[in-house]
Amino acid sequence: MKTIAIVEDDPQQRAHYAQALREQGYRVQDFADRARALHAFDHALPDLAILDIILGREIGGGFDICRYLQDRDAHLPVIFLTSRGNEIDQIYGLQLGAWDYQTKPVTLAYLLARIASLFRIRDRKHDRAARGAVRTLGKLELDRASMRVCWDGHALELTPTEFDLLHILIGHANGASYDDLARATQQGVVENNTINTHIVHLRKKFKQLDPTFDCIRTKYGYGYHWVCR
Amino acid sequence: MKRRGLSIGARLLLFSSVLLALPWLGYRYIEEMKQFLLQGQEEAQTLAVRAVATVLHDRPEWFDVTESAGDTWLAQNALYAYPIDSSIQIDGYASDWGKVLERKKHYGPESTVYTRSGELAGSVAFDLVLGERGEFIYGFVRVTDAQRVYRHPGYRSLDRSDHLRLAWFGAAGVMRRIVLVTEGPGTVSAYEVEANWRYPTTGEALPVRGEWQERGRGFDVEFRIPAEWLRYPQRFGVSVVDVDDAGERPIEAVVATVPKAWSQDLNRLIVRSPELERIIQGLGRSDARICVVDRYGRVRAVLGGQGTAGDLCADTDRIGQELFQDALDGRQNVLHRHDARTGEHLIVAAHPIYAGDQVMGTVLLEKNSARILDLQRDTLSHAALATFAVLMLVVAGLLSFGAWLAFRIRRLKRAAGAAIDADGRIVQDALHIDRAAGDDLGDLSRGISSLLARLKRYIGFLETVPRTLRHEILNPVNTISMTLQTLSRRAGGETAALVKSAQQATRQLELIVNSLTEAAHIEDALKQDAPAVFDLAELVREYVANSAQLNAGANLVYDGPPAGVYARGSDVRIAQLMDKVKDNALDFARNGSPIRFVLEKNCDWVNLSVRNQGPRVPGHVLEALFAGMAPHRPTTEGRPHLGMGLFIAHRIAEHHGGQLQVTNRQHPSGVDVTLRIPLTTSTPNPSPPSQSPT
Repeated sequence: MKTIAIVEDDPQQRAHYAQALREQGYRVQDFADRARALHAFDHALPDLAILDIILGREIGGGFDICRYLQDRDAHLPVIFLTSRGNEIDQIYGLQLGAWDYQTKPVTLAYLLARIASLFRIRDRKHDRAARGAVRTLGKLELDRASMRVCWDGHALELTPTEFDLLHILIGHANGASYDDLARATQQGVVENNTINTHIVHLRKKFKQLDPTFDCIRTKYGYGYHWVCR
Repeated sequence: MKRRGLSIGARLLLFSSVLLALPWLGYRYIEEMKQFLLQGQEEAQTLAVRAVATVLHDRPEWFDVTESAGDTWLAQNALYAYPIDSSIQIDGYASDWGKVLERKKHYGPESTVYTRSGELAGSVAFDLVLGERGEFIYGFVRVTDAQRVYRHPGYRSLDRSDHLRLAWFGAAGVMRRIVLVTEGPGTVSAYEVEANWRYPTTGEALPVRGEWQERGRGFDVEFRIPAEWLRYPQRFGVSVVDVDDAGERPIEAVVATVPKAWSQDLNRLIVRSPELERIIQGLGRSDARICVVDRYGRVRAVLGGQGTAGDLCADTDRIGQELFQDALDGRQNVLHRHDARTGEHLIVAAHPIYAGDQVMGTVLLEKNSARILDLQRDTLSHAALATFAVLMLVVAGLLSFGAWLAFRIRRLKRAAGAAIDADGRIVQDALHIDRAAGDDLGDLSRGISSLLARLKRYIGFLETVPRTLRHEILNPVNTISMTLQTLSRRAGGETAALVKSAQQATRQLELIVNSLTEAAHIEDALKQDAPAVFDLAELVREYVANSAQLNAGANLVYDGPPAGVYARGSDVRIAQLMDKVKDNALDFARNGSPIRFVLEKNCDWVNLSVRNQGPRVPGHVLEALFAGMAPHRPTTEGRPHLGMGLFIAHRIAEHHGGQLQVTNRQHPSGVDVTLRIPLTTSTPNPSPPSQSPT
């Protein structure tokens, strides 16, 4: 049975997460603050951690826990769950090695799906031989099952959200609308701007591999279009 | 902001102009000083003149105080012996008499005391002038006589030819007589004669010299007699006796300085008194001129004045009445005279001389005020120079101080203005200008700094409110949301519908919070955008086309060039701005009416107008349109409207160095929202949209 650690200072939300996860058959450790969580992690690491960023009086408490966990196990999946929608926080969290970042309110179903998929990806990463169906589009190779992306033969590290966005993009031959793309984030309310930010990050990652990358075109007032077909 | 009053510099200049009164005050002071000095001199002169007068009191012998009926006449017809500067050569010629000759007195028919015919219009007349120099009294007589008759040696009587008679009172009041007679031009003979003027009393030679010269219709006689003879009681008379018949030699006429009625008397001889002069010698000063005049204004003594050019009592027997009239009336007096010849300012003090109760004469003391005036002139020029220099220094100092102050104030004003940007955001929370200055401006600077710091803290607090709010609201919303999700998984039927409705409400709540935080974060978000050059025309054209596709009911029209309008910034942000403006236009557009997106280049700027037809924006709303939290449209289709859209659009426009304007249009009625941003000349990075992957 996989162990999921939840660090959330709000007891009600913590209870909801815990209950939903237990219903899915996970073992759940829930902590209200950083000290207790770290104390427990000293004894045993969970398989996945869901962290709130603001923990009581500690504004960046979630970041600290994430740093601790990544030091102990660089492959440990971490999901930030927070009301802080600030893009800076988002970038900071991902730089620390967090696997995903969800702003509140989250859809429980989506959270559960995301957890399942993270476990699956981790397992696949451990088991390199197991490979799912690979979709190829020009220089792009996309493995849906293991969430692996290659551009021109080089692996690309994408967050689950970015992977989903890319998947939707290449799935729409005439361009994906903001509404289509919003589905990738699986969040209740998604502003176009949030999608814009994700796309900016996505482009950046491609350009780090290939400075001439220009496959994602903006369709102003509509969405984005993967033009390299 | 327009300044309402005078600038500090102008005020300083105005106030410092009061300093211009200083030279005037200095001048006034020097004038007063001059008056004071002049007054001092007047008083000193008055004292001196009183001292002289006191010495001369009760010395009637120096003045003529004979009290008789004819006194006045005699006094008025006195003979005056003018002081003569140069030596006189007794030669019968008048050339050495100089200006004194001009004062000769004419004796004509009215002075005739005898004519043989009995008619007054006689054949003879003469001019007489007397002079006084050293030990002698000099006389010059110019006789007009058509028929000259010289003495004949055959006659013993001295009155058988033209001759001159001199008479005076000797000691003890005895009248003495001298006849000047000659046998021809040349030295005259002088005889002291008896009362009948005929025969000499003694044969001894007299210390009287005379020369006789013929001249046209007459002759001149120049003579001198010892002054000592005439010293007291100073009576002297001159007569000219005319003889025309060389045969019989009778006296034809006698013309005298004393008329017939007073034949037993003699003219008073006025001579400057050596005794007087000796007495006042000790009182004399070289820079002052002392003059003693008798009650008829005749000068009796003059002393000093070598140092002055003043002409008081210089060459006149009668000096100006105004100088001594008051003194004669018994009052001491001070007069100021201006010498027109030398331009000197003279002060004359006068004091009466008494003999008993009677005023005998006047002492005048004249002194020029040249020293005082020189002093005044020097002081004035020094004071003027010094005042001017000081004034210039002070004015220059004040002006430079004022300019320095004004400069510092302007600098502080600029710094304070720069600390807050056009939208009222604090960009600098402390001023560096005059921060260390110890004066009031330093205080002001530090005051503004502290004000800015406090304001910044407050604004910082306000800015964190939306984030805090978001955090605080989203946590309970998350709880509600999850509860509802759990509920919806378990419940069914009617409960499921209720849960769905509740979920709808939480969604809306979330929208509100997102809208708020989007506005709150717009500044930070804009700062993170990497600016790039993009084609605005292409963006708008494509945006309109895509939006038309998405909003099926809407009539969106693009009006502008298809491509080639380049601007610098973030294309996605411009698209975000257009989202806001488009949503706004859609909400207000009349059903089915077109919304036109008009793109125009205007010099270095590009204008993008979004024009809808519909209701206009009321004036009061227009002003607060970009302030945020100013909802001005009806809530439609369950979407919340916090008025944040235009606020965000406005911020994006500003971030691109442009502006957003909302204007009402009349025909057809509607609203134009215009974005105005600068064009850029550079072209975008080569990234043709149609580039296909290789």
